[in-house]
Amino acid sequence: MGILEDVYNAIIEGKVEDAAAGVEQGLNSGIEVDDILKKGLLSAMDLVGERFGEGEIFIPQVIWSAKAMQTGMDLLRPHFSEGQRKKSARIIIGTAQGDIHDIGKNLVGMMLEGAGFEVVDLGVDIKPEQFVEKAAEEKADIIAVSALLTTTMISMADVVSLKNEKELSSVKVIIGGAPLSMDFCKEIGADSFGVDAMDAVAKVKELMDL
Amino acid sequence: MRNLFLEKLKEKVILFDGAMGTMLMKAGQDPLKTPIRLNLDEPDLVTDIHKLYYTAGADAVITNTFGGSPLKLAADGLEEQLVELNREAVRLTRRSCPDGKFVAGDIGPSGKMLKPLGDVAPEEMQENFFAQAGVLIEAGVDLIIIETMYALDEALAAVQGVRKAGDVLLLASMTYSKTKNGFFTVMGENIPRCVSVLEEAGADMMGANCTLNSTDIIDLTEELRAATDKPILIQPNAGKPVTSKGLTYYEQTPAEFAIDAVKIKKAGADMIGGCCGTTPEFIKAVAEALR
Repeated sequence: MGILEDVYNAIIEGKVEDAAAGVEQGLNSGIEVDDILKKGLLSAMDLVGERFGEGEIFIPQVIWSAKAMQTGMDLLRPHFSEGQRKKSARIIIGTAQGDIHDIGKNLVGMMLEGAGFEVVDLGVDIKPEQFVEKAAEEKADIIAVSALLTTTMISMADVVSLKNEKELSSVKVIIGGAPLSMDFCKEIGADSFGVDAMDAVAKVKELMDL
Repeated sequence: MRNLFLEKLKEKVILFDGAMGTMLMKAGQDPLKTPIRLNLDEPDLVTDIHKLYYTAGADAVITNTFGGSPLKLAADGLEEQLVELNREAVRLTRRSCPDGKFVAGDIGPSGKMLKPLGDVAPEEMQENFFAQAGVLIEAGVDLIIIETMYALDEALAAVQGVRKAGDVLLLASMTYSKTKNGFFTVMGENIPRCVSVLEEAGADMMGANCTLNSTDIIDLTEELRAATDKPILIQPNAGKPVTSKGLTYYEQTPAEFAIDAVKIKKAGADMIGGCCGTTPEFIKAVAEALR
Protein backbone atom coordinates (compact mmCIF):
# COMPACT_ATOMS: atom_id res chain seq x y z
CA MET A 1 0.00 0.00 0.00
CA GLY A 2 3.00 2.26 0.60
CA ILE A 3 3.69 3.01 -3.05
CA LEU A 4 0.05 3.62 -3.96
CA GLU A 5 -0.27 5.93 -1.01
CA ASP A 6 2.78 7.84 -2.21
CA VAL A 7 1.25 8.23 -5.66
CA TYR A 8 -2.07 9.29 -4.16
CA ASN A 9 -0.43 11.90 -1.94
CA ALA A 10 1.80 13.18 -4.75
CA ILE A 11 -1.31 13.89 -6.85
CA ILE A 12 -3.15 15.57 -3.98
CA GLU A 13 -0.15 17.75 -3.22
CA GLY A 14 0.53 18.46 -6.89
CA LYS A 15 4.07 17.06 -6.84
CA VAL A 16 4.82 16.18 -10.45
CA GLU A 17 8.17 14.44 -9.92
CA ASP A 18 6.98 12.44 -6.93
CA ALA A 19 3.95 11.27 -8.89
CA ALA A 20 6.15 10.09 -11.76
CA ALA A 21 8.58 8.36 -9.44
CA GLY A 22 5.71 6.67 -7.59
CA VAL A 23 4.09 5.33 -10.75
CA GLU A 24 7.41 3.99 -12.05
CA GLN A 25 8.15 2.37 -8.74
CA GLY A 26 4.67 0.84 -8.72
CA LEU A 27 5.12 -0.58 -12.23
CA ASN A 28 8.58 -1.93 -11.36
CA SER A 29 7.38 -3.65 -8.23
CA GLY A 30 4.60 -5.38 -10.12
CA ILE A 31 1.58 -3.57 -8.72
CA GLU A 32 -1.46 -4.05 -10.96
CA VAL A 33 -1.83 -1.26 -13.51
CA ASP A 34 -5.48 -1.03 -12.59
CA ASP A 35 -4.63 -0.46 -8.94
CA ILE A 36 -2.16 2.30 -9.72
CA LEU A 37 -4.75 3.89 -11.97
CA LYS A 38 -7.73 3.66 -9.64
CA LYS A 39 -6.31 3.70 -6.13
CA GLY A 40 -3.39 5.99 -6.92
CA LEU A 41 -4.35 8.43 -9.66
CA LEU A 42 -8.11 8.54 -10.15
CA SER A 43 -9.18 8.49 -6.52
CA ALA A 44 -6.69 11.26 -5.72
CA MET A 45 -8.01 13.39 -8.57
CA ASP A 46 -11.57 12.77 -7.37
CA LEU A 47 -10.66 14.26 -4.02
CA VAL A 48 -8.91 17.22 -5.69
CA GLY A 49 -12.04 17.84 -7.75
CA GLU A 50 -14.24 17.59 -4.70
CA ARG A 51 -12.13 20.04 -2.72
CA PHE A 52 -12.10 22.44 -5.64
CA GLY A 53 -15.87 22.19 -6.01
CA GLU A 54 -16.24 22.95 -2.32
CA GLY A 55 -14.03 26.03 -2.58
CA GLU A 56 -11.42 24.52 -0.28
CA ILE A 57 -8.65 24.67 -2.86
CA PHE A 58 -8.18 26.92 -5.88
CA ILE A 59 -7.01 26.93 -9.49
CA PRO A 60 -3.25 26.80 -8.81
CA GLN A 61 -3.53 23.65 -6.67
CA VAL A 62 -5.81 21.99 -9.21
CA ILE A 63 -3.40 22.77 -12.04
CA TRP A 64 -0.45 21.27 -10.18
CA SER A 65 -2.45 18.18 -9.24
CA ALA A 66 -3.60 17.80 -12.84
CA LYS A 67 -0.02 18.14 -14.06
CA ALA A 68 1.08 15.44 -11.62
CA MET A 69 -1.83 13.30 -12.76
CA GLN A 70 -0.99 13.74 -16.46
CA THR A 71 2.63 12.81 -15.86
CA GLY A 72 1.56 9.65 -14.04
CA MET A 73 -0.99 8.84 -16.71
CA ASP A 74 1.58 9.17 -19.51
CA LEU A 75 3.77 6.60 -17.79
CA LEU A 76 0.87 4.27 -17.18
CA ARG A 77 -0.92 4.44 -20.53
CA PRO A 78 1.46 2.11 -22.46
CA HIS A 79 0.63 -0.59 -19.92
CA PHE A 80 -3.15 -0.33 -20.26
CA SER A 81 -5.08 -3.44 -21.26
CA GLU A 82 -7.54 -3.28 -24.17
CA GLY A 83 -10.39 -3.10 -21.67
CA GLN A 84 -8.92 -0.13 -19.85
CA ARG A 85 -8.49 1.70 -23.11
CA LYS A 86 -12.06 1.12 -24.18
CA LYS A 87 -13.49 2.41 -20.94
CA SER A 88 -12.12 5.80 -21.72
CA ALA A 89 -13.80 8.36 -23.95
CA ARG A 90 -12.35 10.70 -26.52
CA ILE A 91 -13.38 14.30 -25.99
CA ILE A 92 -12.99 17.28 -28.28
CA ILE A 93 -12.78 20.48 -26.24
CA GLY A 94 -12.60 24.15 -27.18
CA THR A 95 -13.83 27.66 -26.43
CA ALA A 96 -16.84 28.84 -28.45
CA GLN A 97 -16.54 30.99 -31.56
CA GLY A 98 -15.71 34.61 -30.77
CA ASP A 99 -14.55 33.76 -27.27
CA ILE A 100 -10.86 33.73 -26.39
CA HIS A 101 -11.13 32.83 -22.71
CA ASP A 102 -9.27 29.64 -22.05
CA ILE A 103 -8.62 29.37 -18.33
CA GLY A 104 -11.89 27.57 -17.59
CA LYS A 105 -11.62 25.43 -20.70
CA ASN A 106 -8.05 24.43 -19.82
CA LEU A 107 -9.09 23.56 -16.31
CA VAL A 108 -11.92 21.33 -17.51
CA GLY A 109 -9.57 19.72 -20.04
CA MET A 110 -7.07 18.94 -17.32
CA MET A 111 -9.71 17.56 -14.99
CA LEU A 112 -11.04 15.33 -17.78
CA GLU A 113 -7.56 14.06 -18.55
CA GLY A 114 -7.09 13.65 -14.86
CA ALA A 115 -10.15 11.43 -14.79
CA GLY A 116 -8.58 9.25 -17.46
CA PHE A 117 -10.25 10.55 -20.62
CA GLU A 118 -8.48 11.31 -23.87
CA VAL A 119 -8.76 15.02 -24.56
CA VAL A 120 -8.16 16.80 -27.87
CA ASP A 121 -7.92 20.53 -27.20
CA LEU A 122 -8.78 22.68 -30.23
CA GLY A 123 -8.00 25.97 -28.45
CA VAL A 124 -10.07 29.17 -28.44
CA ASP A 125 -12.47 30.89 -30.86
CA ILE A 126 -13.55 27.59 -32.45
CA LYS A 127 -16.23 27.66 -35.12
CA PRO A 128 -19.11 25.15 -34.91
CA GLU A 129 -17.87 23.52 -38.16
CA GLN A 130 -14.44 23.01 -36.63
CA PHE A 131 -15.89 21.24 -33.59
CA VAL A 132 -17.99 18.95 -35.74
CA GLU A 133 -15.35 18.20 -38.37
CA LYS A 134 -12.78 17.39 -35.74
CA ALA A 135 -15.23 15.20 -33.85
CA ALA A 136 -15.82 13.14 -37.00
CA GLU A 137 -12.13 12.98 -37.82
CA GLU A 138 -11.10 11.93 -34.32
CA LYS A 139 -14.09 9.60 -33.87
CA ALA A 140 -14.84 11.50 -30.70
CA ASP A 141 -17.49 10.48 -28.21
CA ILE A 142 -18.06 13.94 -26.82
CA ILE A 143 -17.74 17.58 -27.89
CA ALA A 144 -17.17 19.94 -24.95
CA VAL A 145 -17.74 23.66 -25.57
CA SER A 146 -16.80 26.44 -23.16
CA ALA A 147 -17.87 30.09 -23.16
CA LEU A 148 -17.38 32.94 -20.72
CA LEU A 149 -19.36 35.53 -22.64
CA THR A 150 -23.14 35.69 -22.87
CA THR A 151 -22.58 36.80 -26.42
CA THR A 152 -20.61 33.78 -27.53
CA MET A 153 -22.59 31.09 -25.77
CA ILE A 154 -25.18 31.44 -28.51
CA SER A 155 -22.88 29.69 -30.99
CA MET A 156 -23.18 26.52 -28.89
CA ALA A 157 -26.63 26.02 -30.38
CA ASP A 158 -24.99 25.84 -33.82
CA VAL A 159 -22.61 23.13 -32.65
CA VAL A 160 -25.61 21.01 -31.66
CA SER A 161 -27.60 21.61 -34.83
CA LEU A 162 -24.61 21.14 -37.13
CA LYS A 163 -23.67 17.91 -35.38
CA ASN A 164 -27.22 16.62 -35.90
CA GLU A 165 -27.18 17.70 -39.53
CA LYS A 166 -24.01 15.72 -40.11
CA GLU A 167 -25.65 12.67 -38.59
CA LEU A 168 -23.23 12.42 -35.74
CA SER A 169 -26.05 11.64 -33.34
CA SER A 170 -23.91 9.34 -31.21
CA VAL A 171 -21.58 12.25 -30.41
CA LYS A 172 -22.75 14.04 -27.29
CA VAL A 173 -22.36 17.75 -26.67
CA ILE A 174 -21.56 19.04 -23.18
CA ILE A 175 -21.34 22.76 -22.44
CA GLY A 176 -19.95 24.84 -19.60
CA GLY A 177 -18.93 28.35 -18.58
CA ALA A 178 -19.85 31.05 -16.09
CA PRO A 179 -22.98 32.43 -17.81
CA LEU A 180 -24.52 29.04 -18.64
CA SER A 181 -27.29 27.10 -16.99
CA MET A 182 -29.16 23.82 -17.31
CA ASP A 183 -32.06 25.78 -18.82
CA PHE A 184 -29.82 27.07 -21.59
CA CYS A 185 -28.47 23.56 -22.14
CA LYS A 186 -31.99 22.20 -22.59
CA GLU A 187 -33.03 25.09 -24.77
CA ILE A 188 -30.28 24.49 -27.32
CA GLY A 189 -30.62 20.71 -27.13
CA ALA A 190 -27.15 19.99 -25.74
CA ASP A 191 -26.76 16.69 -23.91
CA SER A 192 -25.32 17.97 -20.68
CA PHE A 193 -24.10 20.98 -18.73
CA GLY A 194 -21.20 21.11 -16.26
CA VAL A 195 -21.58 23.78 -13.63
CA ASP A 196 -17.85 23.63 -12.87
CA ALA A 197 -14.80 21.54 -13.80
CA MET A 198 -15.62 18.82 -11.32
CA ASP A 199 -19.22 18.61 -12.41
CA ALA A 200 -18.06 18.43 -16.04
CA VAL A 201 -16.15 15.24 -15.21
CA ALA A 202 -19.19 13.77 -13.44
CA LYS A 203 -21.45 14.65 -16.38
CA VAL A 204 -19.07 13.13 -18.92
CA LYS A 205 -19.02 9.93 -16.86
CA GLU A 206 -22.82 9.97 -16.88
CA LEU A 207 -22.94 10.45 -20.63
CA MET A 208 -20.51 7.55 -21.10
CA ASP A 209 -22.37 5.32 -18.64
CA LEU A 210 -19.24 4.99 -16.51
CA MET B 1 -6.98 66.33 -11.20
CA ARG B 2 -5.84 63.86 -8.59
CA ASN B 3 -6.90 66.35 -5.96
CA LEU B 4 -10.21 67.18 -7.64
CA PHE B 5 -11.22 63.53 -7.60
CA LEU B 6 -10.15 63.03 -3.99
CA GLU B 7 -11.94 66.25 -3.00
CA LYS B 8 -15.12 65.02 -4.62
CA LEU B 9 -14.82 61.74 -2.72
CA LYS B 10 -14.99 63.67 0.54
CA GLU B 11 -18.26 65.26 -0.55
CA LYS B 12 -20.22 62.27 -1.83
CA VAL B 13 -20.25 58.69 -3.05
CA ILE B 14 -18.74 58.86 -6.52
CA LEU B 15 -20.82 57.02 -9.07
CA PHE B 16 -19.13 55.09 -11.85
CA ASP B 17 -20.82 53.91 -15.03
CA GLY B 18 -22.28 50.52 -15.91
CA ALA B 19 -21.42 47.96 -18.56
CA MET B 20 -20.23 48.79 -22.06
CA GLY B 21 -20.57 45.34 -23.66
CA THR B 22 -24.23 44.96 -22.68
CA MET B 23 -25.02 48.31 -24.31
CA LEU B 24 -23.10 47.47 -27.47
CA MET B 25 -25.11 44.28 -27.85
CA LYS B 26 -28.34 46.19 -27.41
CA ALA B 27 -27.17 48.49 -30.17
CA GLY B 28 -26.90 45.47 -32.43
CA GLN B 29 -23.14 45.11 -32.47
CA ASP B 30 -21.75 41.74 -33.46
CA PRO B 31 -20.94 40.14 -30.12
CA LEU B 32 -18.25 38.03 -31.74
CA LYS B 33 -16.06 41.06 -32.32
CA THR B 34 -13.95 42.63 -29.61
CA PRO B 35 -15.48 45.94 -28.39
CA ILE B 36 -12.24 47.91 -28.44
CA ARG B 37 -12.28 48.05 -32.27
CA LEU B 38 -15.35 50.26 -32.05
CA ASN B 39 -13.26 53.17 -30.78
CA LEU B 40 -12.07 53.49 -34.37
CA ASP B 41 -14.92 51.77 -36.29
CA GLU B 42 -18.00 53.21 -34.53
CA PRO B 43 -16.80 56.20 -32.51
CA ASP B 44 -20.24 57.80 -32.35
CA LEU B 45 -21.82 54.70 -30.84
CA VAL B 46 -19.17 54.55 -28.11
CA THR B 47 -19.55 58.28 -27.44
CA ASP B 48 -23.34 57.96 -27.17
CA ILE B 49 -23.06 55.20 -24.57
CA HIS B 50 -20.61 57.27 -22.51
CA LYS B 51 -22.99 60.24 -22.69
CA LEU B 52 -25.92 58.10 -21.54
CA TYR B 53 -23.98 57.13 -18.44
CA TYR B 54 -22.91 60.68 -17.58
CA THR B 55 -26.49 61.81 -18.05
CA ALA B 56 -27.76 58.96 -15.87
CA GLY B 57 -25.67 60.36 -13.03
CA ALA B 58 -22.24 58.78 -13.33
CA ASP B 59 -19.46 61.03 -12.00
CA ALA B 60 -16.78 58.90 -13.63
CA VAL B 61 -16.99 56.94 -16.87
CA ILE B 62 -14.58 54.18 -17.75
CA THR B 63 -12.93 54.20 -21.20
CA ASN B 64 -13.61 51.41 -23.70
CA THR B 65 -10.13 49.93 -23.21
CA PHE B 66 -10.77 46.85 -21.07
CA GLY B 67 -8.99 44.63 -23.61
CA GLY B 68 -6.45 47.29 -24.56
CA SER B 69 -3.20 45.85 -23.27
CA PRO B 70 -0.78 44.49 -25.87
CA LEU B 71 -1.12 40.82 -24.82
CA LYS B 72 -4.90 40.96 -25.00
CA LEU B 73 -4.91 42.92 -28.26
CA ALA B 74 -2.57 40.34 -29.78
CA ALA B 75 -5.21 37.64 -29.23
CA ASP B 76 -7.31 39.49 -31.83
CA GLY B 77 -4.41 40.52 -34.02
CA LEU B 78 -4.81 44.17 -32.99
CA GLU B 79 -1.48 44.69 -31.22
CA GLU B 80 -0.24 47.11 -33.89
CA GLN B 81 -3.08 49.46 -32.97
CA LEU B 82 -2.25 49.77 -29.28
CA VAL B 83 -1.73 53.52 -29.41
CA GLU B 84 -4.65 54.48 -31.69
CA LEU B 85 -7.25 52.28 -29.96
CA ASN B 86 -6.37 53.46 -26.46
CA ARG B 87 -5.84 57.11 -27.37
CA GLU B 88 -9.07 57.31 -29.32
CA ALA B 89 -10.97 55.67 -26.45
CA VAL B 90 -9.84 58.40 -24.06
CA ARG B 91 -10.75 61.10 -26.59
CA LEU B 92 -14.28 59.67 -26.98
CA THR B 93 -14.84 59.57 -23.23
CA ARG B 94 -13.37 63.03 -22.72
CA ARG B 95 -15.59 64.58 -25.35
CA SER B 96 -18.65 63.10 -23.60
CA CYS B 97 -17.52 64.24 -20.16
CA PRO B 98 -19.21 67.30 -18.63
CA ASP B 99 -17.15 69.77 -16.60
CA GLY B 100 -16.47 68.58 -13.09
CA LYS B 101 -16.80 64.91 -14.00
CA PHE B 102 -14.09 62.32 -14.61
CA VAL B 103 -12.56 60.00 -17.21
CA ALA B 104 -11.18 56.72 -15.87
CA GLY B 105 -8.76 54.81 -18.11
CA ASP B 106 -9.67 51.13 -18.03
CA ILE B 107 -7.17 48.27 -17.81
CA GLY B 108 -8.41 44.66 -17.79
CA PRO B 109 -6.64 41.31 -17.53
CA SER B 110 -4.16 40.16 -20.17
CA GLY B 111 -5.92 36.84 -20.61
CA LYS B 112 -2.64 35.07 -19.84
CA MET B 113 -1.34 33.48 -16.67
CA LEU B 114 2.01 34.23 -15.13
CA LYS B 115 4.70 31.60 -14.70
CA PRO B 116 4.82 28.93 -13.38
CA LEU B 117 1.11 28.24 -14.10
CA GLY B 118 1.21 30.09 -17.40
CA ASP B 119 4.05 31.13 -19.67
CA VAL B 120 4.34 34.88 -19.14
CA ALA B 121 7.30 36.21 -17.12
CA PRO B 122 6.59 38.92 -14.50
CA GLU B 123 8.69 41.50 -16.38
CA GLU B 124 6.74 40.85 -19.58
CA MET B 125 3.45 41.20 -17.71
CA GLN B 126 4.56 44.47 -16.15
CA GLU B 127 5.70 45.74 -19.55
CA ASN B 128 2.29 44.81 -20.99
CA PHE B 129 0.45 47.13 -18.60
CA PHE B 130 3.17 49.79 -18.68
CA ALA B 131 2.63 50.10 -22.44
CA GLN B 132 -1.14 50.55 -22.19
CA ALA B 133 -0.95 52.87 -19.17
CA GLY B 134 1.55 55.09 -20.97
CA VAL B 135 -0.94 55.73 -23.77
CA LEU B 136 -3.86 56.30 -21.37
CA ILE B 137 -1.92 58.79 -19.24
CA GLU B 138 -0.56 60.62 -22.26
CA ALA B 139 -4.11 60.89 -23.65
CA GLY B 140 -5.20 62.60 -20.45
CA VAL B 141 -7.21 60.28 -18.21
CA ASP B 142 -8.05 61.57 -14.71
CA LEU B 143 -7.36 58.22 -13.10
CA ILE B 144 -6.64 54.64 -14.08
CA ILE B 145 -8.73 51.71 -12.98
CA ILE B 146 -7.29 48.21 -13.13
CA GLU B 147 -10.28 45.87 -12.87
CA THR B 148 -11.60 42.32 -13.04
CA MET B 149 -8.25 40.95 -11.94
CA TYR B 150 -8.67 37.33 -10.84
CA ALA B 151 -4.99 36.66 -10.07
CA LEU B 152 -3.09 38.76 -7.56
CA ASP B 153 0.26 38.29 -9.29
CA GLU B 154 -1.15 39.80 -12.49
CA ALA B 155 -2.83 42.66 -10.60
CA LEU B 156 0.48 43.38 -8.93
CA ALA B 157 2.25 43.47 -12.31
CA ALA B 158 -0.45 45.86 -13.53
CA VAL B 159 -0.05 48.23 -10.57
CA GLN B 160 3.73 48.17 -11.01
CA GLY B 161 3.38 48.77 -14.76
CA VAL B 162 1.08 51.77 -14.25
CA ARG B 163 3.27 53.19 -11.50
CA LYS B 164 6.27 52.97 -13.82
CA ALA B 165 4.28 54.81 -16.51
CA GLY B 166 3.41 57.82 -14.38
CA ASP B 167 2.09 59.35 -11.19
CA VAL B 168 -1.58 58.94 -11.98
CA LEU B 169 -4.38 58.32 -9.47
CA LEU B 170 -4.70 54.53 -9.47
CA LEU B 171 -7.48 52.16 -8.44
CA ALA B 172 -7.01 48.37 -8.37
CA SER B 173 -10.15 46.21 -8.37
CA MET B 174 -10.10 42.43 -7.93
CA THR B 175 -12.76 39.85 -8.79
CA TYR B 176 -13.74 37.65 -5.86
CA SER B 177 -15.97 34.59 -5.69
CA LYS B 178 -18.01 33.62 -2.68
CA THR B 179 -17.00 30.30 -1.11
CA LYS B 180 -18.14 28.69 2.11
CA ASN B 181 -14.93 29.96 3.70
CA GLY B 182 -15.40 33.55 2.55
CA PHE B 183 -14.42 35.63 -0.47
CA PHE B 184 -11.45 34.53 -2.58
CA THR B 185 -10.07 35.13 -6.05
CA VAL B 186 -10.20 32.00 -8.23
CA MET B 187 -6.49 31.71 -7.47
CA GLY B 188 -7.24 31.49 -3.75
CA GLU B 189 -6.17 34.94 -2.52
CA ASN B 190 -8.32 36.54 0.16
CA ILE B 191 -9.21 40.21 0.58
CA PRO B 192 -6.60 41.23 3.20
CA ARG B 193 -3.83 39.60 1.15
CA CYS B 194 -4.85 41.35 -2.08
CA VAL B 195 -5.22 44.70 -0.34
CA SER B 196 -1.85 44.57 1.38
CA VAL B 197 0.04 43.56 -1.78
CA LEU B 198 -1.67 46.17 -3.98
CA GLU B 199 -1.32 48.98 -1.44
CA GLU B 200 2.33 48.16 -0.96
CA ALA B 201 2.83 48.36 -4.74
CA GLY B 202 1.35 51.85 -4.80
CA ALA B 203 -2.36 51.62 -5.63
CA ASP B 204 -4.25 54.64 -4.24
CA MET B 205 -7.70 53.06 -4.12
CA MET B 206 -9.09 49.52 -3.87
CA GLY B 207 -12.06 47.83 -5.48
CA ALA B 208 -14.07 44.70 -6.16
CA ASN B 209 -16.03 44.04 -9.33
CA CYS B 210 -17.74 41.37 -11.43
CA THR B 211 -18.98 37.81 -10.67
CA LEU B 212 -21.02 38.77 -7.56
CA ASN B 213 -24.45 40.34 -7.76
CA SER B 214 -25.39 43.45 -5.80
CA THR B 215 -26.73 41.41 -2.86
CA ASP B 216 -23.75 39.10 -2.38
CA ILE B 217 -21.31 41.98 -2.68
CA ILE B 218 -22.67 43.74 0.43
CA ASP B 219 -20.81 41.38 2.79
CA LEU B 220 -17.72 41.67 0.66
CA THR B 221 -17.89 45.46 0.97
CA GLU B 222 -17.76 45.16 4.75
CA GLU B 223 -14.70 42.93 4.55
CA LEU B 224 -12.95 45.18 2.08
CA ARG B 225 -13.78 48.21 4.24
CA ALA B 226 -12.24 46.47 7.25
CA ALA B 227 -9.10 45.64 5.27
CA THR B 228 -8.16 49.12 4.04
CA ASP B 229 -8.35 52.82 4.88
CA LYS B 230 -8.15 53.75 1.22
CA PRO B 231 -11.25 54.70 -0.80
CA ILE B 232 -13.08 51.65 -2.19
CA LEU B 233 -15.09 51.11 -5.38
CA ILE B 234 -17.75 48.39 -5.59
CA GLN B 235 -19.07 47.29 -9.01
CA PRO B 236 -21.41 44.28 -8.88
CA ASN B 237 -22.97 42.46 -11.80
CA ALA B 238 -26.71 42.72 -12.40
CA GLY B 239 -27.02 39.12 -11.25
CA LYS B 240 -26.47 36.21 -13.59
CA PRO B 241 -27.30 36.24 -17.27
CA VAL B 242 -30.41 34.27 -18.16
CA THR B 243 -31.08 33.09 -21.69
CA SER B 244 -34.52 32.44 -22.96
CA LYS B 245 -35.54 31.93 -26.57
CA GLY B 246 -32.22 33.23 -27.82
CA LEU B 247 -32.40 36.44 -25.80
CA THR B 248 -30.04 37.14 -22.95
CA TYR B 249 -30.93 39.32 -20.00
CA TYR B 250 -29.71 39.70 -16.42
CA GLU B 251 -31.64 38.62 -13.34
CA GLN B 252 -31.63 41.85 -11.39
CA THR B 253 -33.71 44.93 -12.10
CA PRO B 254 -32.45 48.50 -11.68
CA ALA B 255 -34.76 48.90 -8.65
CA GLU B 256 -33.39 45.83 -6.85
CA PHE B 257 -29.85 46.89 -7.67
CA ALA B 258 -30.46 50.38 -6.30
CA ILE B 259 -31.83 49.06 -2.98
CA ASP B 260 -28.62 47.06 -2.56
CA ALA B 261 -26.52 50.08 -3.54
CA VAL B 262 -27.76 51.89 -0.45
CA LYS B 263 -26.61 48.93 1.66
CA ILE B 264 -23.29 48.85 -0.18
CA LYS B 265 -22.77 52.50 0.70
CA LYS B 266 -23.67 51.79 4.31
CA ALA B 267 -21.18 48.89 4.35
CA GLY B 268 -18.47 51.41 3.58
CA ALA B 269 -18.18 51.93 -0.18
CA ASP B 270 -16.85 55.32 -1.29
CA MET B 271 -17.58 54.67 -4.95
CA ILE B 272 -20.24 52.52 -6.64
CA GLY B 273 -20.64 51.44 -10.24
CA GLY B 274 -21.97 48.51 -12.24
CA CYS B 275 -20.32 45.59 -13.99
CA CYS B 276 -21.80 43.04 -16.45
CA GLY B 277 -25.45 43.51 -17.32
CA THR B 278 -25.86 46.98 -15.85
CA THR B 279 -27.18 49.80 -18.03
CA PRO B 280 -27.78 53.57 -17.67
CA GLU B 281 -31.13 52.71 -16.01
CA PHE B 282 -29.23 50.95 -13.21
CA ILE B 283 -26.93 53.92 -12.67
CA LYS B 284 -29.87 56.32 -12.72
CA ALA B 285 -31.70 54.22 -10.13
CA VAL B 286 -28.58 54.13 -7.92
CA ALA B 287 -28.11 57.89 -8.27
CA GLU B 288 -31.69 58.48 -7.18
CA ALA B 289 -31.48 55.99 -4.30
CA LEU B 290 -28.31 57.57 -2.94
CA ARG B 291 -29.56 61.13 -3.26
